[in-house]
Amino acid sequence: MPVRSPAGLVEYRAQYRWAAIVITLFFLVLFARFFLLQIVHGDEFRKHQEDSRHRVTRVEARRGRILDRNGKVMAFNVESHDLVMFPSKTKSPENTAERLRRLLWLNDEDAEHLRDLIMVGMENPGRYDKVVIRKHLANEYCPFDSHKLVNLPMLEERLWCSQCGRDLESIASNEDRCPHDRDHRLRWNADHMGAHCRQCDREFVAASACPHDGMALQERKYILKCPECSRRYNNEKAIIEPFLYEMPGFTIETRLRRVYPYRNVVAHVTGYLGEVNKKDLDRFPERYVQRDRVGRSGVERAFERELRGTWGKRYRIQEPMEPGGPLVELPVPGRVDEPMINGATVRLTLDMDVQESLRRALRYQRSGAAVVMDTETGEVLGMYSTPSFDPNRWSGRLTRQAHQMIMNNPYTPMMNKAVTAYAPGSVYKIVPAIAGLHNGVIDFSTEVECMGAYVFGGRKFRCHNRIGHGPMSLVHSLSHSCDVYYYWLGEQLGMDVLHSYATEYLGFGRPSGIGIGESTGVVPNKDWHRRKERVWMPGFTLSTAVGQKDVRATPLQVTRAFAAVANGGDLVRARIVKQFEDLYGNVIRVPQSVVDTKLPINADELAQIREGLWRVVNDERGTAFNARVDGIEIAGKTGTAEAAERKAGVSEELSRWLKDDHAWFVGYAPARNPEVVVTVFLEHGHSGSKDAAPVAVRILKDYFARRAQDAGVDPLPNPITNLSKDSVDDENPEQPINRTPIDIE
Amino acid sequence: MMRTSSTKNKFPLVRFDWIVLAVIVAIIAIGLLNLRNVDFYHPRFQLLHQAQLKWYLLGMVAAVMVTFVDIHLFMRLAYPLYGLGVVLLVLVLFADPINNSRRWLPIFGEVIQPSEFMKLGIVLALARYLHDERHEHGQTDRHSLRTLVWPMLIMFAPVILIFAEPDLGTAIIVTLIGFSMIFYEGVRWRSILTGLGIVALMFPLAWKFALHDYQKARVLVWWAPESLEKKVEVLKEQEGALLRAERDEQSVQPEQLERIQEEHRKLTRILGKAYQPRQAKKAIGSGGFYGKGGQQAVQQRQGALPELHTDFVIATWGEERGFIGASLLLLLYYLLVYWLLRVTKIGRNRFEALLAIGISATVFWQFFVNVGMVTGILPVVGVALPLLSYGGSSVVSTCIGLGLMYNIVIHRRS
Repeated sequence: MPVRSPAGLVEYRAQYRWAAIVITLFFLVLFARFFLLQIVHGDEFRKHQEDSRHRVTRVEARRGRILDRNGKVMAFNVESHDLVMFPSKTKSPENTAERLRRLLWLNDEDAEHLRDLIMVGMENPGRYDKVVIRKHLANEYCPFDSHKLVNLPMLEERLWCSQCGRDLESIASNEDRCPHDRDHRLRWNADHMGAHCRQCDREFVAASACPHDGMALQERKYILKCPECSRRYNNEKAIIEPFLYEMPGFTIETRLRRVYPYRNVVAHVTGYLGEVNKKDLDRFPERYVQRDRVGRSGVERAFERELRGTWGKRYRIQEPMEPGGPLVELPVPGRVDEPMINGATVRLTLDMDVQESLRRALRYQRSGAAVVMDTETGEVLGMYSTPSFDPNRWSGRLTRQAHQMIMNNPYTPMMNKAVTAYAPGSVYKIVPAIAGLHNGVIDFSTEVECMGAYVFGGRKFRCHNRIGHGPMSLVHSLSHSCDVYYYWLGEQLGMDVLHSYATEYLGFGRPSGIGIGESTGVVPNKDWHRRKERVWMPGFTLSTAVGQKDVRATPLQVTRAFAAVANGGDLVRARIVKQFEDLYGNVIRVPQSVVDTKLPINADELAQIREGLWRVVNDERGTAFNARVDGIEIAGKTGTAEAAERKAGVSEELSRWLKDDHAWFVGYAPARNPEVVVTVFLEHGHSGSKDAAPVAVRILKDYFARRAQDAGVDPLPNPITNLSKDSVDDENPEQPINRTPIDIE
Repeated sequence: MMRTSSTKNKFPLVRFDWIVLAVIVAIIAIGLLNLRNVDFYHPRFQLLHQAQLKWYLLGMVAAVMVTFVDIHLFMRLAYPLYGLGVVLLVLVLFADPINNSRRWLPIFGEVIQPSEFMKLGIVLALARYLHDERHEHGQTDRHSLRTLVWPMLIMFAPVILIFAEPDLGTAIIVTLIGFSMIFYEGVRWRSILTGLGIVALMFPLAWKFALHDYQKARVLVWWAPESLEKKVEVLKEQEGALLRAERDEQSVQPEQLERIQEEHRKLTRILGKAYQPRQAKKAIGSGGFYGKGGQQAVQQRQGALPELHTDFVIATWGEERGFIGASLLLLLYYLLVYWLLRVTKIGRNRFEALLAIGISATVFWQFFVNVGMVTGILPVVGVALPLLSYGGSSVVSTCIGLGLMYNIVIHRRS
């Protein structure tokens, strides 16, 4: 019986009841829900949890391209398709091996190899997650040299031998001449079944059995060919793909492969890629995984970071959508994917036309290098080292044999000789010349009498002219390359002074700043000798002054030093990179040309030196007079350095070569107002004036001829676009690539 | 249910009141234990449970203070406190956003969430208004829409501000609290129906104009996940195609690629966030009957639940303690809410009764929406679990509310 309650409370009774019921109901709902989740579906959920896996997948970034200054592509990427097998999922390996053999037209040996690969994979299921069965399936690019394949105008038929794998062309037995090069005769075998053309190296057959092993031949048709190596192909990837579903466990993986269209012309500059090894993986576990490729030499290596880009990361949970159902990938809440950033494109200062001319100029030389540099900016327009190699081979199928051959080549094709240090010989004489002028030891009129030899310390230091040049001034000493003058000068200055001028003002013994791996050479001083040989004799100074004894310089360093003389006294840093761009062509960063130091001599003194260098080529008694050409005025210096080496176990011929002197020539043109400097170095090339100079002059001639041809067009065009103030930075190679990160909210 | 003043107890509280006090203490203890384990899974959050302890203590002090103050003080302060709350809500809209929403104001080195305290403010204001209505103006009929104008205003003004932060969850809760109080007062049937009609009309408008993309996405994911998933699939395809083209050095418009990537990423994140309840269900469900034991929750170790310390605290508890633990928690809160409801009958005037229903509604709705959300019955809307979720403002305001309840109880029983 409700007692008198304070105002209006009594009507809450109904509401209270309703509220109590509603609340109780809602709680029961929750209770039931927990029951459902935990009791009824509890085991399912538990299993679900066990089935789910966190996956972090890598989104691969595209490696940046390498271009020359005009945009010609020197390195780019193509798709490469590999046939891979997952042993845990493979069912009928025998059948698959057989089928692949037929699809790919494998000869017996290759078929055997394929079967072995498959079997090994199958027999050790735990050991291999994935086995690569065949790399570089032919698709768009030639597996041999990465050239783009073209369609044959007509289906080509060949006769194929399943044992040796040769493709033979069918031919009538009365044919005399090669159907491809009409003017060459065919050489028929003794049994007149098979023939061979020496010119194009093709094989022909007039019967239905292989002339080499007698196997019955099969007909085979081709639709593609490589314009470069002339090999015939079919689209292996397209052939295999439709049958993949019948070959469980097999799939085609696509990777990106590097292609160098100019091959050996720029091989030393671009460098090449190699597979990551354990050391790389240990040092940068976040950056590389197994089978990644990383730059091993040249620009590929020096600018690996910029070219590589950054992986993207995808965080996903992989689990069955419903318990026991198929796996799906779901995003991980709270974890944001990291965007992939493609590698930057590196545009070099190199000019392919110049580079080509270097290759042509050096093509008859056994071993050597040439460098072309812009005198004002230090930009390297060309850098070639001979013999060279094809970097494509190193990123394709390189056989052990080929590898051995390259490594055993006595002319060391893998070395970039433009940045390797050798005894410079007379080109080094500008060091004492500048030191002498600046120190006041010599002036324009100082004369030294050359009698053919210089006596010092009980020894006779011979001049290359045994009779003697007579009285020599600075200018003459350069144009005649008189050794005595410099022996004397060297004695006056002393070893340490020579060392300091060479290293502080002319960049010897120091990195040139180019960025790619280079040798810094050697500029000895007293200490160095003492440490190295435990003795220093004053006589060493004399030899050092003429670029012998232990001095070592690279062609690049020599170029740089002479560029300083040519441009009026600025020692510019060597540059190989013009700018970095993103993949849309926008400029990311432009390294600036840097002047490292200025030559300490004044304009008059420099003019004297340049006069001497001018006379080298243009005075009839200059050491390079015979090399001069009409149309361009060249100034420069020859150098012939004693460099006799001995190697055990080499042929007579090679020994003779090794004993010869190194040949150098550095020249700049036009002499009055120089634009470019060229250095030619011929390893054991014999004579600077007779051998190196003509090559250099040739190079300069080609350079200016091309210039005249492109008359009206700036030969060193500057295709810089979108240059904004922010993207121009100041020589800091550690500055990170400045691509705007995509904002994730 | 009334105790006559003849039985003058020594202690002003009956046994149930003491039991509930124990219940509250138990809940706090569970909260601390749970948070300590949450900290264990996420070393980043190391000291959350310690911070929370601080808030519990502060809350209890405030509760005690509130309990022994004359309730008339609150009657007088109802509107001013409400006004203060509104001012703070306006101020907070100008604060720096954290996680893209402006909910927190920095004060004295800590941050407070005005929306939490606004709940109290609204309860006080509504209680005062409706009390005045009856006592001052003698209104005894059920409300019609006309008479509800002011209460609606009182309720919706802060709701809109809260919604603008944006904080959908708290806005919804406040609306529910307001409606609970008003309905408890009594509304005419006709008005109820008309009101529902208006809401039904507003809903599509709100969907189109008022809701943010991510809020819509959350609802969609709960209601029809396939549509969002399909959208994401399409985007993934587009992005993949563009990336492949880019890689093959065909010309690609950078803006287009970036736009698609942007959207793909955004939707993926939303989808990921919306998979929270899926992961939470999995976590809770895998607890089974006995649970996995303290610090043994696999789900949390995988790091799949980001709001572990706030909205999804129950998930850890569920996975660790199983059905037994979950039922225990349900029981505790049920007792609490039931007791709160009973306080409505103890109030000696409308104000107190309404205060009681307001506080009950606050605790009940928050609890229900949060647990419903975590277990997948309701879409994810970001509502904290009172006394268990980490958050100073939530803890302190809840404690103050409970203190007010004890205030009523003590003064009535004696």
